[in-house]
Amino acid sequence: LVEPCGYIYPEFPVVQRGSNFTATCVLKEKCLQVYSVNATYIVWKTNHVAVPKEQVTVINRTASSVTFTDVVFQNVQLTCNILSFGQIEQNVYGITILSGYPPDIPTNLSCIVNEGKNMLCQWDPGRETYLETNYTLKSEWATEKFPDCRTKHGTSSCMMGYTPIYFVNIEVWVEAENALGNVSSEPINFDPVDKVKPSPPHNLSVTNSEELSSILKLAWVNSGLDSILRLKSDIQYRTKDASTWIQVPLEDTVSPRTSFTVQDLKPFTEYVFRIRSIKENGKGYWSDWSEEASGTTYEDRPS
Amino acid sequence: ALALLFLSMSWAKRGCSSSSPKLLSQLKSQANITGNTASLLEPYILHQNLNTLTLRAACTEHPVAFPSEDMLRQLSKPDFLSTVHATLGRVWHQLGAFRQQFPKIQDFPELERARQNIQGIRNNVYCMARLLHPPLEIPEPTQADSGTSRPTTTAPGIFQIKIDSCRFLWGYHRFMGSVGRVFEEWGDGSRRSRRH
Repeated sequence: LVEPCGYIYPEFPVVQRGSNFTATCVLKEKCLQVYSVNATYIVWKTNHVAVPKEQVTVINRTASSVTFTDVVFQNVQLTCNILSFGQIEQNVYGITILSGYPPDIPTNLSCIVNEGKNMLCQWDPGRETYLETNYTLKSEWATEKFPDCRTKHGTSSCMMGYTPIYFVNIEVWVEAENALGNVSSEPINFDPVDKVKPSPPHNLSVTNSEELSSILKLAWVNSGLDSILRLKSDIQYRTKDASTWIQVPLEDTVSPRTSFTVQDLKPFTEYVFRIRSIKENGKGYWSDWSEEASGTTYEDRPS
Repeated sequence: ALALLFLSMSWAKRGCSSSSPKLLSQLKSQANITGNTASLLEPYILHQNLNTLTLRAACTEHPVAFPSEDMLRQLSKPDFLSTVHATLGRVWHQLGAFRQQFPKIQDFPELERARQNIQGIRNNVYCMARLLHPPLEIPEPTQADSGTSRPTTTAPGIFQIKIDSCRFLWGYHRFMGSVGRVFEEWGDGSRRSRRH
C-alpha cells in the first residue's frame, strides 16, 4: 500500500449541527521534498468542490486547517489535496464528516401486553438526529434485571424478549445513544397486568326467545385470561341494514360474564352483534371486536 | 435469607410499588395462581404419566415438609415474609433441578413459567418487607422452614423421582394456598392476630 503523504484529524468527526468545525491536514516531511510542496500548496475540497480560501489557515510548513461555521451539511467528504510541483493536484487524505444532533430525551413511553405475546413498549424519540442512534429499552424489578431490548435508528418501539410476569411491578425506561451523547427517559413503574389487551371474545352466538319477541340472548367465550383476570365487556348491535352501532350501556356489563340478554328489540328483525372486553377495572386496553354474529327476534304473537 | 437479599440489593430501589394495598393485592393474585394445581402439578402429572388414581394418591402421601398453615399464621409479619421468601427460594432451586427430567425444557413450559412466577412473588415479598419496616430486620427463617426436606433427587429409579417430584409440587401448591389465605387476612385485618 502506498503510504499517504499526510493525514487529517480528527479522522472520524461527528459534528453537532449549527456548531463550528475545524479539521487539520498535516503533511509528512518526506513528501514535502518529494513533491516540492508545503502546507501552502494544500487545497481543501468538500465533495470534490474547493473550499473558499477564507476558510483555510496555514498553520506552519506542514499543517493547514479548514474551518466550517454553523455546520448544516449531513454527510460530507472532506479531502486534503496538494498541488505537486505547483500544478498536479494529488489527493493526500480524506475523511467523512457526519453531522447531526444528540438524542432528545425519549418521552411518552408506554407499553402494551397483547395477550399471548411479549410486552411491546414504544416512545417518542423527539427530533431527528441524522445520526446512527441506538435505543435500549431497560426493564427491571426491584430484585431482578431483565435482558435489554435494543432497537436501531428509526424505530421507536421494542418487544421484550421475555414473557411478561403479571402481578409484579416492573420499572421500564429507554436509553438513547449516538456519537454526540446519551440520555435516558423517565422510568415508568407499572404491573404488566394493567397493560393487557385481551384477545377478543369468540364463539359469539345469538339465540331468540319464542316467549319474548323483543329479546335476543348472547353467549360467548372470553379470552383465556379470564382464568386469572376479571374482564368486563362492551356490547354493540345494529339491525342488519343499519350502519351505526347501538351501544349496550357499559354499566350493564361491568361485571365479568359470558352471556347477556339484549332487550327492547323489534320483533322479527335481524340484528348483528359484536363484543369486546377489557380488564374489569378498566386498566389496559380494549380487546379488538369479536367476530360479528347475527340473530333474528321471534315474530310477535297475533293479538 | 431476606436480610441478605435486603442488604445485598441496596441498589434495588427501582421497581417496587410504593403502595402496600397494591402489593398485597398482587401477592394475593400470585398466591391464587400458584396455589392452583392446574398451574404446575396437573400438567406434571399428565406429562409424566402419573394420571391414575393410585399414583395420584401416592403423590399426596407423605407430603414434603413445607411450613404448615398453622405455623405460618403464628408468625409475625417479618417472620412470615422471611419464611415465604426463603421457602420459595428453595422451591425455585428445586424446580431448577426438575429440568433434568425433561429432555427439552420446551416440552414442559409450565416449569419455567412457575419459576418466573416464584421470582415475581419473592420480588413482591421483598418490596412488602421494605414497606412494612424499613429497614427491616428479618430474623433467620424459623426451624420449620429449614426442615423443608429436599426430596431425594438421587432416588434409585426414575419412577421414584417422579413420585418424589409430584409430592414436592403437591406440597408447593398447598403451601401457596396457605400463604394466600394468610395474606387474605392481612388485608381485612379481621383477625386479632399477633401481627405487629
